[in-house]
Amino acid sequence: MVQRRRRTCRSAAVLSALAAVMLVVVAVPSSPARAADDTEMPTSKTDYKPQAEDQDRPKDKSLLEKTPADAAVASKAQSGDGPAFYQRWQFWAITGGIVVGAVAAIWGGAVLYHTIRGGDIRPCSSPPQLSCAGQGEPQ
Amino acid sequence: MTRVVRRLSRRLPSVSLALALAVMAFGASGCETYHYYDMDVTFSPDWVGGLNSAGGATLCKVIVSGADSHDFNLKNCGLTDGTKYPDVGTFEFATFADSGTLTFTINAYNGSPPGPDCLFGGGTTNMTASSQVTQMGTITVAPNGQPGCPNNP
Repeated sequence: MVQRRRRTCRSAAVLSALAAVMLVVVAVPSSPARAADDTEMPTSKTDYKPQAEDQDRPKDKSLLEKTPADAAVASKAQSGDGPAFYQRWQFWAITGGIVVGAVAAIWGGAVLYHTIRGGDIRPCSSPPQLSCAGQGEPQ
Repeated sequence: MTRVVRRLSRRLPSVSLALALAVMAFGASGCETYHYYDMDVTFSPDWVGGLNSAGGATLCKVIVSGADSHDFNLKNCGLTDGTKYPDVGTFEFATFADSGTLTFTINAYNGSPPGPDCLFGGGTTNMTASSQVTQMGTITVAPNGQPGCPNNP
């Protein structure tokens, strides 16, 4: 039982250490220390070569030319980076159309329903009546 | 979302067309039109003593049956003003019925409650329902030979 608890404690310690390492790895790029390191010159001068003297530049010019696939990818990326849907006039045109259409449909439907149901009943008082009764008249 | 907007904009005309067709179909399913029956109420010359006997009416109950059914009351059978006797006036009955027969029955009571004991006159008129908007008719109230209940108002 004790052995088991010790094993559990050990795995917890290992996990904590691993988490600490991960935290350091994640946190370091944004730390000022790392930023200071970036501005420092490399220590080993033997490995440093200016880019102007890079010997690995391709001699073949065709490798540097843009292919149609690159253009397609670029245009797709450009279209993906457009304004949000609610910033487009089409969205507001369609939304406005739907709202206006819904209001018109409700109002028109009510008028149509009333008309289909006979519309307005004519006034009772021409000529003076003993009574007006039946469909559409108050009981 | 952009795809939804595009899809909506593409389908908007067809949706509008379908909506319009549905509205037209709904409208074509049947419009109802009011038809009016202006019925002139007249007391027959059979009332002995004229207004003296007919004037005892406290209530007339009008019952519509046949192509439509309804009932309503005429206070004092329209005899609020004795100067209008025997033609007391007109009532208007509105209905959507445009075919069949409308039967107008009028029961005159001379006491309360307006039950069989107080019934002392009445009349019936049949009207043919048609597409005509307004039809005029006459309904004559004649005594039924019973005294009614004039002493039990």
